Amino acid sequence: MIHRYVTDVQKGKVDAKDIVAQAVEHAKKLNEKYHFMNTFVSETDLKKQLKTFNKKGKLAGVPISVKDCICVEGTESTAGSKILKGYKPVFDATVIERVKAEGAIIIGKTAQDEFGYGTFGTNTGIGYTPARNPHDARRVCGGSSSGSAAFTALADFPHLSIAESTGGSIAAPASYCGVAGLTPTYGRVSRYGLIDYANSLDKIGSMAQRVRDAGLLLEVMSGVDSKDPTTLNQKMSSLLTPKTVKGLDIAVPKIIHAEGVDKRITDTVLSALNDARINYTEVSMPLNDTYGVWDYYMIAMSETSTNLAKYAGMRYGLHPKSVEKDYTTLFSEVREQGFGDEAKRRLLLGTFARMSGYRGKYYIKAMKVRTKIIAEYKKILKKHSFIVSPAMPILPPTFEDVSKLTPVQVYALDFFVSGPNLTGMPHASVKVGALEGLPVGALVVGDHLQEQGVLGVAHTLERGAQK
Amino acid sequence: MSRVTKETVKKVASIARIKLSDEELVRFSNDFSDVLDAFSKLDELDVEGTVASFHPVRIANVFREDTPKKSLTPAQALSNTTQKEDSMFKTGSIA
Repeated sequence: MIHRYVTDVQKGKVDAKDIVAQAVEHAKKLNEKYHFMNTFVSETDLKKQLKTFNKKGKLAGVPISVKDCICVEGTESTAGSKILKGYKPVFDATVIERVKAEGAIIIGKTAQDEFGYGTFGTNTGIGYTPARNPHDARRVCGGSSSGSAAFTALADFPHLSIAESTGGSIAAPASYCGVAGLTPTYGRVSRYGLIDYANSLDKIGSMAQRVRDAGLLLEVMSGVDSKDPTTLNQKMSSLLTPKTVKGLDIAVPKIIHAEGVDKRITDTVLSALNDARINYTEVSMPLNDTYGVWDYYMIAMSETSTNLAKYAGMRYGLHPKSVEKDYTTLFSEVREQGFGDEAKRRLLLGTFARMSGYRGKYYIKAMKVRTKIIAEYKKILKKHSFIVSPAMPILPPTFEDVSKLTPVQVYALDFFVSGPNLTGMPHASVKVGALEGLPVGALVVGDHLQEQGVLGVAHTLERGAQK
Repeated sequence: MSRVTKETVKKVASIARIKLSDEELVRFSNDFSDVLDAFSKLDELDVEGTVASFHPVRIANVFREDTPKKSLTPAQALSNTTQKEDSMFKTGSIA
């Protein structure tokens, strides 16, 4: 438990320098097989952090890995894309400032789908190797925070990971790797310093082996930030001590019985609710079931196509060797060389959806559909405390299985995780069992800013699964 | 939705400032058709009179005092580029 380790560091019973040095050494060895890290911080930077960290902080001496899309000063931060190769931010993201202020030690950047464009962690940028599942290296980790989840599962030393979700990028890999993943309400955590995917969907969250520890990290990162005007300036419940819950009436979406959902996964999640003596009622969510995934992808692709415009081979990352050609040619060529397949696909589709003549049909329509889906979630959550379902409809597939799927088939598998991301609602993925030696994760969703309750339900399910 | 042609993808790529190979043009035009077919599902839903949610939570304007603050130095701003001259970024001709 991180809590005990932090207490020992605070009291001087443990020397964090030794623990962190061993952790980094071990992580580097594990990384040769599992590829969960894109970059480790330099020895000079690590030494500097170990010399100056806050020994009384809430994260005193805790080694923390960070998804590659979050800026860490002086450490290469590429969002897993060749187009940002070599980019070393000259500032820390707000979440990095906050965890460092509480004594955390940043040890490196975790692998991910390029810019977050993936369900499985296989859409890595040109020159990057996808992370491999700790439970079976032939299988995928889930994406896009694949490296954060794999590292969290493998670490046999104190470790937490800062992850990020746009459409399920924390819940999916947390489920596939069997760790706890927390995605907060949109706006609870500052996005300043995040290499953005889709601005109205991006959320920085946390991963840990236990729900309680993921809550600690999220607590430290939460709160209003003058550098991100979309952060919520509201009083937020503490996430430090999740409580075991009783007497709740949980909603379970009927889509858990749909074709395409592995019945064994559904049964495992429902058994976990029964074992924890949590009452549940099956509910219909027709709008989310029918339109949620496609509405999410429409918005995500439209927004990301504008965000990718800044990669012009001029200020950072991949550059042309000379600037003798005209600007538009240089711009187009560097993007051809720097973006991977899925980045190109989403750039093109998003640009198309925002073009004159199509904007109303696609982009604006998607925003209105989102309003209706938010209303559907709110209606359910007015009657029921939380919504619980599997996080993913199938067990982690092999890399070979994934290579046979079309883009549309892959997108369609996000139907449990796209809804809470589209609606900006807090959610947790927690391990509730195993099938064929592979973890099964339950997804717990709450109304906006109900993280404390989400944490409580996830903690209760986690405890039940450990018995 | 009817199939998306290579010419359409070429036009979009030009707007998005990305060069594509012939093989990519063919592949992405097929992908375009499949994905736009899936997106056309949204056409079924009547959203007449519905307000668009540009963010998932209610967000109001945030104001701050207009006071000068420390910003990046030219050296910091240029630290990640390989193409620079004096205190400026250097790129191809715009005209």
